[in-house]
Amino acid sequence: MRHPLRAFVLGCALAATPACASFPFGNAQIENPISAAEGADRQAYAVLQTYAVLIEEAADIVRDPEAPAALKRALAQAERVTTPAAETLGLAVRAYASARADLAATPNDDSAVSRFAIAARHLGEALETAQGPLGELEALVRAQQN
Amino acid sequence: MLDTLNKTDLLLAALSALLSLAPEQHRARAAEILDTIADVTKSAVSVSNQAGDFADKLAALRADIDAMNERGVTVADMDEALARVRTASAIFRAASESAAAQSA
Repeated sequence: MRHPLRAFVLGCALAATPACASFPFGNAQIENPISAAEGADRQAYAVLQTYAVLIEEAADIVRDPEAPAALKRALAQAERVTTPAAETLGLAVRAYASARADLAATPNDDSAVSRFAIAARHLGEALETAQGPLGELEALVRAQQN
Repeated sequence: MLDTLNKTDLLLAALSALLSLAPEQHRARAAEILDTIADVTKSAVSVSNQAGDFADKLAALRADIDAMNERGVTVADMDEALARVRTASAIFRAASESAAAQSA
């Protein structure tokens, strides 16, 4: 694997590794917000906020007149795919938080219990979808390092 | 230029993680996208001090998450996070369209 791509994937795997609280990248120490999150809702919230940071940084890159046009096109292509997916995850967390608040307010309401169970299942599925391919990426990185 | 390339190293590292959130039928395009990026950034050397801004933002977010572990995520938290993503996406797309128009 070419060096820049390996750096991308290695960083990705490190950022998504729950056990990794922080890691050095160049001369900077990168804190891992996702690893600090406890519970599925906070983990998904951390993923969403991290994604927002990434897109903010990406806007700086596409504004740079010296950045290659092909790179800008690739970023735009990636953003079009990932933003809807990130929003889907965000909406699942929002529904979970709402259902949990309803359940706390009316603990004996069967419909509140049912809504909470459904929201929790949807949130778990959304996170599982996100985490499966990350394991594949991490395995790919390790294979390239050997 | 080096700043941009180094920042891109970090950005794409994490962006590729989010690509995994995409529906399966789109996920195959991730490798294609990353290959394109590898081609255009193959002159990049190593990551340097320029990672600072990105590191600062993630450190601030990490502090927020630590505080949030005490109380849990609320609907208001999620509305704020979703709004941040949508705003960032809109700004990014406007900048991207402007860049594409200038290069045409």
